[in-house]
Amino acid sequence: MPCLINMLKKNMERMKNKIKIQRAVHNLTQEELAEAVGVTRQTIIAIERNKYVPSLLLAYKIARYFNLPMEEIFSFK
Amino acid sequence: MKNERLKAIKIIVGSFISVTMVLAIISQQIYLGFASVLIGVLFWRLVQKRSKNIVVDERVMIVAGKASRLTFVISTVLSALLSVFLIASGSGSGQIDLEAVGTILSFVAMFNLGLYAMSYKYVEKKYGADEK
Repeated sequence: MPCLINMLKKNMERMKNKIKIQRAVHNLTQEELAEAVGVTRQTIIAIERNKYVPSLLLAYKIARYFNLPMEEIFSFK
Repeated sequence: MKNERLKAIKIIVGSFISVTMVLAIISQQIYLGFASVLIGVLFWRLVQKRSKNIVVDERVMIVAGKASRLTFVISTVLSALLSVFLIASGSGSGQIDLEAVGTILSFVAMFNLGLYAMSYKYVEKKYGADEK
């Protein structure tokens, strides 16, 4: 169990995203983005703070909403 | 429906259940307690259905899954340890009541483990971990 948590934490540290920047570019609030991709505002906050790694489906929805390829928004470092 | 309004309704429903439960305990009316919980839960479900807000998403599901696992581990280990302690102390001092409670708790722990194993198999199968 602790091993799994450490593994997840490491993965979360490596995942970076530009959602906040894209939101600012498109002049969107967290609430509006959350509603558009069908999640809660708390989830958007967690993703922006790199505390939660979204599923492939959610990442795809976010990228499609901003009309950008996924690797433009999400990067693995 | 706005999130703030939903939160306010949640607090009101929670308060209603708590107050009615306290009244039910004071007046020793078990049916009042059950009815208050049932009404509160049904009302909350109705509100959730009618509001267009998303209250459950993938992160919430993951959090709920982790919380459930933690609860399972804690409750099973606690009941197993407590059952060993009760059986040992009950048989040592000759108190049959303690031994009986300990035996029941050990069965509860075993039931939890069995149920977990079955649920795990079911969910694993659902998500395609089939070796055939």
